[in-house]
Amino acid sequence: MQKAKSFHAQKAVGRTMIYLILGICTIICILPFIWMLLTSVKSTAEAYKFPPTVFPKKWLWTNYTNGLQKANFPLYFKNTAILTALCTIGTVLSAQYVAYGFSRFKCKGSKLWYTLMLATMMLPNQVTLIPQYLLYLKLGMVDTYLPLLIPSWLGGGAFNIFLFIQFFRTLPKELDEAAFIDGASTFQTFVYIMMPSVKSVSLCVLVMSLVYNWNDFFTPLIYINSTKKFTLAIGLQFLNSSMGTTKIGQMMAVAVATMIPVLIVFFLCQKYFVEGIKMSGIKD
Amino acid sequence: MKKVFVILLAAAMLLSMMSFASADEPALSGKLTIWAWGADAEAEQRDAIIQAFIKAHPELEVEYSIIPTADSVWDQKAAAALTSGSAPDVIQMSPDYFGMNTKYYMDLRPFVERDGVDLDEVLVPGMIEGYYDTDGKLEGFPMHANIFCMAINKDMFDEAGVAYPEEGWTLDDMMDWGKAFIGGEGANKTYALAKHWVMNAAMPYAGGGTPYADDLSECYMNSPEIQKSLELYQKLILEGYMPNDAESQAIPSAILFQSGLCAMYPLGGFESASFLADCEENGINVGLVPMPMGVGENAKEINVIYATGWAITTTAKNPDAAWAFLKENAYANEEMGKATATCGMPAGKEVAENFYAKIEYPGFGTYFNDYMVEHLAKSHINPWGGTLASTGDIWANMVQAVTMDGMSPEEAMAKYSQQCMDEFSSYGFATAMKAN
Repeated sequence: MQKAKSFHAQKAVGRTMIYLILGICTIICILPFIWMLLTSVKSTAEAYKFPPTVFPKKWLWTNYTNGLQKANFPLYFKNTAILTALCTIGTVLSAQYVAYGFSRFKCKGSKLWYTLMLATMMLPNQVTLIPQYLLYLKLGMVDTYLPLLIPSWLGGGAFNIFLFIQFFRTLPKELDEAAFIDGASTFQTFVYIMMPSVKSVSLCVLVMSLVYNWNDFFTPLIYINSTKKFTLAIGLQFLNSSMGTTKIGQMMAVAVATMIPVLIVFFLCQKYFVEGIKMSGIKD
Repeated sequence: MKKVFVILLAAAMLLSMMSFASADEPALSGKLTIWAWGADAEAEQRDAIIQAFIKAHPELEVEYSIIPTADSVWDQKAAAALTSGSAPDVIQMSPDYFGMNTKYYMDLRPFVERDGVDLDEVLVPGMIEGYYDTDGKLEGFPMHANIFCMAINKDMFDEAGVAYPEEGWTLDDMMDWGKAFIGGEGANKTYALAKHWVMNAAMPYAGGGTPYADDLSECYMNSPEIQKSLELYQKLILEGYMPNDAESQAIPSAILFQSGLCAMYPLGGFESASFLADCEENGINVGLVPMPMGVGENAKEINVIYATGWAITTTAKNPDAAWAFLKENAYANEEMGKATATCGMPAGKEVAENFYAKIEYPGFGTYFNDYMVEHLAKSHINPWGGTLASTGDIWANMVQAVTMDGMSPEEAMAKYSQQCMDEFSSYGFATAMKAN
């Protein structure tokens, strides 16, 4: 009886500790968001005040109207939404198609191609910037969205392909054979058997690709010249003055508005995202 | 009959003059592409300048882009475009590039000669000099320039019983009366002078010398005057006149002043309007006074020019339209000049003296802009821009050594000055000067 009591007490203490640690972690994670929300309605002077104020003395809602106007929000939101949607769809579809090939079909040199593909993950953006820029320039694609879209529809990045490959490898080959016996072609097997089986990884890649493309600042900036074609991430930088006169409240207001769509999608797909990460064996 | 003949002759002469003028200045047509950098008020200014040009030239198809400056993204985008030969006709640049990217810019002297304009007549003194390369090439043309004046917190001065500084005041003077502003602890610590980012560019002049010759033929970073500058800088930080690096990173220098924790703030022309409005909002009683002089026999004003202008790229497809844009922004289009005045002193003498200098700030009259026009020629172009940035980095190391790492100015000079000299000679400026 005594033993059972002590066991329950130990269990309760353990559980309390776990909740305490998780609670602290949650606060650490959520604090920057709360700070961002509250700063978005503060004056610049108050945002830097020490000791900091939690709630603003004067709620500056004009940070939102002024900031969104300066960042050309409606136009850049539209551009970003279209671009992100196309890039995300392209990434999800093409990455799994390429991964299906790598995981199911062996040919001479396929290992070399696989290694080369993985090696592209090691190259920093700056190294490939000029050659890639020259390539798109020769193809007459600079100042169009094509340099941003084409990579998404041609594999969508080594990391995403790798993620799908890991998952395809866990699926039994008997699935493909059964489909083949039933008269399905390779492409039909991919569309009707494989694609539905990797739904959770697809949603995981979808969320990651969406967040990446939504926030991507560097690539659109390099390839897009016309101001009217810019994206939200660039628009946000119009509030970031290099002369030290940045209005931090306005910047945070635009950052909040920019973050909302991605947050909504993330919350909708959260379950699948975690599942996808788990099933593909990537835990970090 | 005689009258008719005279009228006809006059008309013929007028027509021939007009045709001569049009032969000199080609009719503009086609497409013109322009890239500018800027965020916030700067972006709005560039947009207004280009819009004024578009309004004046409906015959041209103008395509333009304004690119943010944060995180050096402009440099990367410009580098990709310039090296690949896909740069626009007109690209923004600065006189403190000191030859950086110059091979991608056209020499503008033939355009100036063709127009027969005396630049000293039409531009504010001190505006064009920085755009000449060491080989005499005119690689850019000015848009605007900004220098600094000192904003003071009048209430802090009154409370401390310190008289407001007047023209000709020196850093030595500040060492005397500036102590009255130093006090408090932690978040309430007060200072005499904000550590504005311009201080690293201004302080090399504080000891009465210069970091290098104006024509870039020689480097003086090993001179006793530079050592004196380091001593002054060290004293300012270690004795608490100015916040140290760690303290200044905790709170932006403008906010420090606007929070009433700092008696003086070097105020740049690019930020004057918003800065003064924010001071008013925070109840700071601001006064404007000149920037201080350095110390020593050859004491100089420690004021730095941050200027920007335009270049025509060597790959420009429409150089005539590009030149029209450059000269109209600089001096030949009043509306473009006025649009420029929102964020700095326009290059054109006419607009600078008759419009910009007359812009009044509530409570300050025309002091600020008058000061800018008057002091521009006495100020120094940012010494550490473009090509010279790497020498500027070594200077920053010297400053850190004496203000943070406990090194004496003599030790810092012994360790770093030769590095500066070597770095400077690696640019090849001196070689270029000898060749000329």
